[in-house]
Amino acid sequence: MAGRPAVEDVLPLSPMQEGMVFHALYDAQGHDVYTGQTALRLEGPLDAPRMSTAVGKLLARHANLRAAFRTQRSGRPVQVIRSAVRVPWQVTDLSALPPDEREPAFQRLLAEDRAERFDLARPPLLRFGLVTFDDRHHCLVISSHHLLWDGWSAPVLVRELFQLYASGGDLDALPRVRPYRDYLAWLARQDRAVAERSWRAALSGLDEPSLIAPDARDLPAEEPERHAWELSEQDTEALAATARAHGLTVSTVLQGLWAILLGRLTGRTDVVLGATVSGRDADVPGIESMVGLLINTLPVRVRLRPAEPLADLLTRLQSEQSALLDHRHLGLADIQRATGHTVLFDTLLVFESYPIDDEGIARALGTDGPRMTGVSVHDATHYPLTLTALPGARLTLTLSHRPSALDGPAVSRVAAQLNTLIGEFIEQSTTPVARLGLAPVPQPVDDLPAPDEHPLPHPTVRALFEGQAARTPDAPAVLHGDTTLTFAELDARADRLAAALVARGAGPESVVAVALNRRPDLVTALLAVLKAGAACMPVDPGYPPDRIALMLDEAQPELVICDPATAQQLGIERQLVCPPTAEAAVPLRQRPHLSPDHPAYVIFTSGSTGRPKGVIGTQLALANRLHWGRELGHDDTPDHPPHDAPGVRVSKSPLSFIDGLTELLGALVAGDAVALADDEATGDPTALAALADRHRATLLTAVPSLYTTLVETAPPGTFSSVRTWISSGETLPGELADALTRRWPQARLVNLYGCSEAAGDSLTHLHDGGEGPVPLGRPIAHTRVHVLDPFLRPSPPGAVGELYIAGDGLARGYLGQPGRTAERFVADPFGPPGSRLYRTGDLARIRPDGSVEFLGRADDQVKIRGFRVEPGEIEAAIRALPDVGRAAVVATQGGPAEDGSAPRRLVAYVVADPGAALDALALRRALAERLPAHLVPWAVVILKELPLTPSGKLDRRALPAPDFTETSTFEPPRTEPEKVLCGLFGEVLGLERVGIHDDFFERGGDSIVSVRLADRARRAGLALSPRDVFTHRTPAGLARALPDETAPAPEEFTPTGAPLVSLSQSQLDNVKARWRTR
Amino acid sequence: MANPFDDENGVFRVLVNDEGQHSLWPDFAPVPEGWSSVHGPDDRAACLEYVERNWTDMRPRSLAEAMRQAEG
Repeated sequence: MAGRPAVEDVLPLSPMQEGMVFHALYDAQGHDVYTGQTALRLEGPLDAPRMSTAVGKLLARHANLRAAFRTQRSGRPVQVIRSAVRVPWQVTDLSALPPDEREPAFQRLLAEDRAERFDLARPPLLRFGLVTFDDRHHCLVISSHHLLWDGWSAPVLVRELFQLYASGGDLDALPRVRPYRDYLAWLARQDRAVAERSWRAALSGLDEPSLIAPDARDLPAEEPERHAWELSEQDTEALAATARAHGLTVSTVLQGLWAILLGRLTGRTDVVLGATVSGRDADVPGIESMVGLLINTLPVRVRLRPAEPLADLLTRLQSEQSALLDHRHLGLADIQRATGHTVLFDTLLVFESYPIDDEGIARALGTDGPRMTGVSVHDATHYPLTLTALPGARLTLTLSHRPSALDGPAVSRVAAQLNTLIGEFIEQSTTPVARLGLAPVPQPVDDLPAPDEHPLPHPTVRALFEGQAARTPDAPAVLHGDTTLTFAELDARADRLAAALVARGAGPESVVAVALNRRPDLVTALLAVLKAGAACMPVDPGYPPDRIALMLDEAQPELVICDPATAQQLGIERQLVCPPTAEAAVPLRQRPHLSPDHPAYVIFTSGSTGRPKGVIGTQLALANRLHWGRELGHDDTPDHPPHDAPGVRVSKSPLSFIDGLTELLGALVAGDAVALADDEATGDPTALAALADRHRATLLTAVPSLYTTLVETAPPGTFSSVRTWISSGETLPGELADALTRRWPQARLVNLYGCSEAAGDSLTHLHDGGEGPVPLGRPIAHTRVHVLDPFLRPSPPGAVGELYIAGDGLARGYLGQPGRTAERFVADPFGPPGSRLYRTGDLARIRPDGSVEFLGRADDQVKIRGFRVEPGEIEAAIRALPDVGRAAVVATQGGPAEDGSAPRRLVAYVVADPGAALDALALRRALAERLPAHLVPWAVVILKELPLTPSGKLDRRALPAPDFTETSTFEPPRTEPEKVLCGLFGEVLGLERVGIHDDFFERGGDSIVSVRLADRARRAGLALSPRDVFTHRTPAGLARALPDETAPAPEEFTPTGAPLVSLSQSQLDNVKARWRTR
Repeated sequence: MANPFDDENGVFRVLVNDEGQHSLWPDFAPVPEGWSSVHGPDDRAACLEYVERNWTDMRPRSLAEAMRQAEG
């Protein structure tokens, strides 16, 4: 290694430097966002060689500017200080260009310069350029890696540079240097254990990170875009004055306001943002004149309490932060490690309080030197969104955002909201947090174009049906086996039974249970109850008798329509029983008046407490849903000419559920016939196909699980008459929707979302082949929906919130449960005065196109290590594997845990195709080859069949728990690279045994350790980057990602003649101990 | 995600509209138009207890009134 300059010193890294080394190595080919550029505009005579000398002396003065960054064999990164380096110095003369071309040429130069990466191993990580426009106009361009110095150092650096220029490079003219290593030595002396305890306390109880762009870190690094604006002088002064009046710093105010905004963007009340601190408060003599990277990025956790006045929140925040003042030396990776988080935040707030020392610089340049007329700084962070505040007579705020993570309009909205919040702080700092920022926030859901809001022709179900029967008396209404009933026949039968019901006491506000099998009698009975003005309560006679008894006991029906055998079997009191064939002695002359507010149905839903809840739905709600549903049978897309002929709708959904009721009655009010499936046929594809083909069915409603079966097993040529598929009850995976429309191109697919509490359906979406799970779509007639945050404010578009429903579909409430009704059906702040909202308990977000997207149950979020996981995506991947029939993926708590709390893990339940056999380990291996590691199920369980609830949905509670012992998932390495990687995983993570599917991050890895893993892998001859570790995560995944020809390992760095780290022995021990604990 | 209506430690009110319908309501949020507070601020359990005690007829008031008149 002849000619290599001597190593003067070897130093450890500050925590912030470690983080930046990670980002520089993470993607060695891509853009390094931590390449900074400062351009100083100078006016007057300038002596270029003299400036070059000054630059050289500046590097001679500051050892840390000569640093290279290397990783030792131990995996420990160090900065190696060379005694001398050649300083890149380039002079560019633009004066030969026409004057108007000089500035564009200069800007091109700057852009090219920014794009040029520094190689961390080749010092110096900086370069200087002098650009001459003409005799008197110059620009000094200083480009450097952020590893060398921070913004607070820049004024010191520039002042010293000009002092050296003025003195002709006389180092003695400057005061004694304050070396960066003094700061590193101070860092090594700090009590880490105490600091870790404080951070654990500060973040205790935090359950997940606050991420506005969770997917951003898988995207390549990129140059951020900027959105900058200034407050007026008046507002800047008012902000400072209001802060002073409350004893707050402007920095705290901005942190608090940013936290409130973050709460809105993430839908969370416990938020964490990143904040950059200057590090200049460390107890190191002369630290204020030090040049180096002393800043640190730390989490600021803010718990938002809705009723707390804004000023109180900010005061609390300032006091919580002051408790951490002595512990701000700890690095982010260490804090995450100590608190058990792999990530905490992805937004950063930088309050740049350092002064630009214009006077000092002017003094240094003297009267004969040039004048500095402008400074522009170009720097960036890797965070999706960074807010930088630059104090001054006008506070300058800049939002830098990664364009692939957040688009310009989204950032403009954030800026507008921040401005509003600043205004509110100035004007009314005692406003409760939940009431802030209400005025200017758009309410996107309200803007959704509602379908044509025609008033209902009849607000009761009986009137809708009777109107239809009068229009098409001879059309078929009920099809069952060889039996056909026309509308007129059905109407007459229902009238006769209705008279009998009224004679026996049924009427508005009474409940009549209907416990019949799916036969024409059932249709007659349901209509008769509605004609009598009573609420129908369908009871599936096949239900467990205990459950039926509970429902009857709860609902106290006036009558139960059933046959004698069922009555006896269920032990129903004789005086309650009404046979379906009953007729009144005298025909009914006048029916009781029926109001739209009277109940039309009682449907029981399972409650979380185990006690079923009876929903009382109104006539208006059901009539609205049924009348809107008429259009479901009509396809008015251009490809399909309108069908005037009546259709045939299949009734197959269990009647005890609201979908069973809307499916059956929906056909009749639309003038379609209803074809009754035998109850045994409802889940059997062959029987269902036979039924649909026999009656030339045009519309069929099913849950996605059944559609999966139909797509796979329906005999060829079946269901050819179907024009509309309706999916409801579960999330409809996009790939299933595509498969269904591919297999039956003549039929369209409608996804419905709703619940018994709102007459069955509230949102509708016509499948259009879009990517991902099919959205829930837009509200049906006379219905509004809202996605609200935890403070009951509309969530911004794209942000997760809870779904609320309002409008005509709302039920009266829960039978005999006023308390429960009052907590689910709540006052509506957005609707007409006195109206109500039903809160669904489902999470949703508004898509850019305005449609609603379902994200799961609020109380059953699927999140794995902070990443939202879509089980449907994994299920689709499993089903795509050979021999797999069905698959369900759930997140389960359990299994081995390092820190005592059982983490959530994904478990896949898989059913083989008929006649096929599956092997759980082989399946998991196959999935590991197809899915990103965080989506690979932790365990695969093979089942004979998936347990289903009576309504045909997956019965999650009936799924068996997997074997959580480690042996069930441990898989030994199969190839040499896997063996090496398993060994390296074990080394850097401190584990005895690592299987090839063990996830690096699940087993305790983080970004810093990923650098060490990649480095060791490279030394072992496997070319991997930290980015690969992030992307592939497991030994198996990484082994697969290896290039075919692995490049030889780079030469080992061995310093010549100098001690590795010239700290004192105790300091050295401290440093070593620190590395060991990682 | 925390729903404010499920917050066991929250401070609530009970609101009633012209139809006599009751709503649990977090105290931090402004009372929506057409509703008035009849109980609270109080804890969640006490508010629900108030509802159970006082909302004894879940029919909308206008409907109950009309039915009474029809019965004459």
